[in-house]
Amino acid sequence: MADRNELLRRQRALATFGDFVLDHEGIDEVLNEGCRLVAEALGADLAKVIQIESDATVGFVRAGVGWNEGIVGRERVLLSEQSSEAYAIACSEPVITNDIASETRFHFPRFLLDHGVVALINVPIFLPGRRPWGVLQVDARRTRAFDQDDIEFLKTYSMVLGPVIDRIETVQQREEARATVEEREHRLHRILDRMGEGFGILAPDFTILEHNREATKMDGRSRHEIVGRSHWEVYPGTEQSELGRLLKRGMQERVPVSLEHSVVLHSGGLVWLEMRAYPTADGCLAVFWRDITERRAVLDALRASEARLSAIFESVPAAVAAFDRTGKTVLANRRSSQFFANGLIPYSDLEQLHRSRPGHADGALLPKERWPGKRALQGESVLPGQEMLFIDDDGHEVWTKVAAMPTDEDGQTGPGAVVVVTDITDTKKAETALRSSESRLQTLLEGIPQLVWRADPGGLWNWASPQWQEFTGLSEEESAGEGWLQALQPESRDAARRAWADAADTELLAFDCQLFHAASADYRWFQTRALPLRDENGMIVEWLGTCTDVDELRQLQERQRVLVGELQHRTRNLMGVISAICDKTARGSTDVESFRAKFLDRLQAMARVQGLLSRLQPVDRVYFDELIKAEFDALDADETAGKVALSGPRGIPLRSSSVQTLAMALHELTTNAIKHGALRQEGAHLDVAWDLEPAEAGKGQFLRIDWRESGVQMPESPDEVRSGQGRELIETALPYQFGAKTDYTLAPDGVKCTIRIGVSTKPQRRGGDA
Amino acid sequence: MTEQPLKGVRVLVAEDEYLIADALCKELQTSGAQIIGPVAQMEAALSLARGDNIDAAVLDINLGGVEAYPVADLLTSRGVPVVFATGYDVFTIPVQYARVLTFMKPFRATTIVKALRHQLGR
Repeated sequence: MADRNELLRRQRALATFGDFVLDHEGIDEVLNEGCRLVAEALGADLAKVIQIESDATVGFVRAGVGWNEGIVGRERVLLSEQSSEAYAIACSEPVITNDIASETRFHFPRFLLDHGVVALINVPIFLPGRRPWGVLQVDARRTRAFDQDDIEFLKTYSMVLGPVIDRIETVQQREEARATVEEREHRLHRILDRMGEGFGILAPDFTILEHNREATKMDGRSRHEIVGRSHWEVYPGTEQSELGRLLKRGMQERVPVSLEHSVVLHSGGLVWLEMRAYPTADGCLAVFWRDITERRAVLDALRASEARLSAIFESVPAAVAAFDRTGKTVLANRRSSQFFANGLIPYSDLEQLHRSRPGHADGALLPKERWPGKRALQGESVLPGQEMLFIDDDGHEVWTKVAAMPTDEDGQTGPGAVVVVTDITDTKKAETALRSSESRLQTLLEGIPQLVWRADPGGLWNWASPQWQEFTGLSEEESAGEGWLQALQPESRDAARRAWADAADTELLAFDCQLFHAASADYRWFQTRALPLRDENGMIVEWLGTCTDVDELRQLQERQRVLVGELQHRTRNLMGVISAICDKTARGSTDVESFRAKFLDRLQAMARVQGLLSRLQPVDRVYFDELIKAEFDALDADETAGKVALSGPRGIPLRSSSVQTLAMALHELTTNAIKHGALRQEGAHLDVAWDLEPAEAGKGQFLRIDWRESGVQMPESPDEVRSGQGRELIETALPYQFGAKTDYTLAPDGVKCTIRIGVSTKPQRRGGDA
Repeated sequence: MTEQPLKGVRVLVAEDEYLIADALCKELQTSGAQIIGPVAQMEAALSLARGDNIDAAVLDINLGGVEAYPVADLLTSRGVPVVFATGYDVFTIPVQYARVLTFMKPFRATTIVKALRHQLGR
């Protein structure tokens, strides 16, 4: 039993320890002091604290007092079934061994024996919640009996020690944890600051909590201008932007978001940023971003280039396809589907083979190994291409031109080929049409009777038809340039040159000229016409001209002109004559009936003459025998039978101009004879004789007509009845109009009249006597 | 007609058709004119036209197949009024004679008389 002093000492030890603990935080110094105080309080040399190590099978001498060097903080004890420490912990009770030598329950570590320990007491230390922490041991070098007081003291001490240890450890752990966090944060900052991309952390209210060095560098402002402020404030306008929308979404929905966007930096530059934001466990948003301006520019350029290439590829008016070495399509534009329906190169596409035909213009077959695609796959360029005939889906023939080129090895499929198919059906059709048109034109040009030629603007000939050459005797070479002018009658040449000078303005070349006809060595009239041919710009490229033979036409026209004029003249003259006859007849008539008879009679005589004249060809003449016969044929045959004798040569040609007046004079003579004398009376007779006789002084020949009535009893006052128009015509009109010489005598036995009048000097067509 | 509008006027008549010339001359004489001619040939007409005793002329353009224009030229150059009496259409007459009064056959002689009166200012 401890005495009062002993108790006080022990209480003092507890109080001292309490003070000590208040002033110290290191667990080792607290425990060492604790050991010292407890040893002192119990009057022992040695005390120690053994801590249960993590695996609970070993105890570690954590603190102690009185021990040799190398024990405290070093020595470990096995917490086996034979150890007193393990026993104490397991029982949760102090264990006393008053004499090691007689102790049978436990084995003791070697160092206890080395220190001469003979007795010891183990008190378990529990942390709050009865968690075993370790053991407090007091060791004595002399045998002694630890009593109940000692045990109570130690139990109390141990109960104080538990919470103390717990407190210290907790503080220590907290300190360690704090240090660890600080270290980690520090390390994190170093990592973030070394990052090549911008990094920041946004608080739930979008306050910027972090902003790494790269971010600051990109931004251009210092970190304190950014960190701690609202994102919306630091980056004005972003709250409503796509970026702001995404950041809010990430923050609210706790999902990663990303965006490529262009921003104008605080420094003024425009950059493209790629932003990724991830929600963090603490409700923030970790935001990463990097400058992708360069990549973006490269991509944009690439994209634009691809778009352009694609547009070109699709807009080429041809089917374009690239094939690998097996003949499969690698790349093809839309048009190519018409020709490569199965995506195969035609010569290896058995299903579509029948649709392609190799087409030479002569229709010769092209062996398959010579098809363009095949040749290109064998490394040969087929340019500008091979014509092929293709049958389209509707069965129509499509003429194509197929070009093919080998392509370089691409590392995967080996060498391939690019095939370009152009639809040339229209061109083909136009060519065919042109050829047949040219051929038709050539046939036409060489077949028509016109002389055809072609000339450059300005009148220099570059082609002359065979007809021209044959007609003029000038070869094509001789006619070329201005050579053709040689064929023109010299006086026509200036007119031709003038016509050419005007041609460009009037767009028509037109002139008439005389061309030398080689075969007849004579000139003939030609009408020349030419029209310009123009190119698509309206420029004259050539003149195409013809020379048409109008010689006969001109002659005919001239003759017609003369004839029409002459006809007009004669008709009007005749009308004039008729009206004069009418006038005269009227003057010589006593009543209308006698006028009528006389006038009609005269008109009929004139009509007979017109009949003779009108049947004439230009060179023909009316012959006198015809004229006199016509006059007498018109009379009643009974009245003239046996009383009239006509004699004279046939075929004496009269001047056409004199026929009418002469005929009218004869008609008047005949009329008077029948009415009044010779041919009416018994024994009366008329002889009309005519012949040619020479005129004086070489003025050609005269026709002499002798009108001889005989056996006629003339009336008493013959002038009244036998004068009049017949006599006037003979005595006045014939001399007046034709310079005729006439003699008219009323003899007692009848009229004796002689007319000598000039005749036509034109050659006679026929002759002989009547 | 008692009036003689062409009294004392000397008129050259060149007309190769006797009957027409005769009828024309009779009408002119009735109007008081004095006839120079008539003649049927161009040479004769030209020869008369050279004389200075002509106040007016009626010319057939075709005199025995010869054109009478020289006669017209000679007379108009002296200011002597001339009219044509012809069977030809006016379009066959050269343009320089377009102003010469032309009567197409068959004409009424009285029409010629009126024309001469007008030309002579009577």
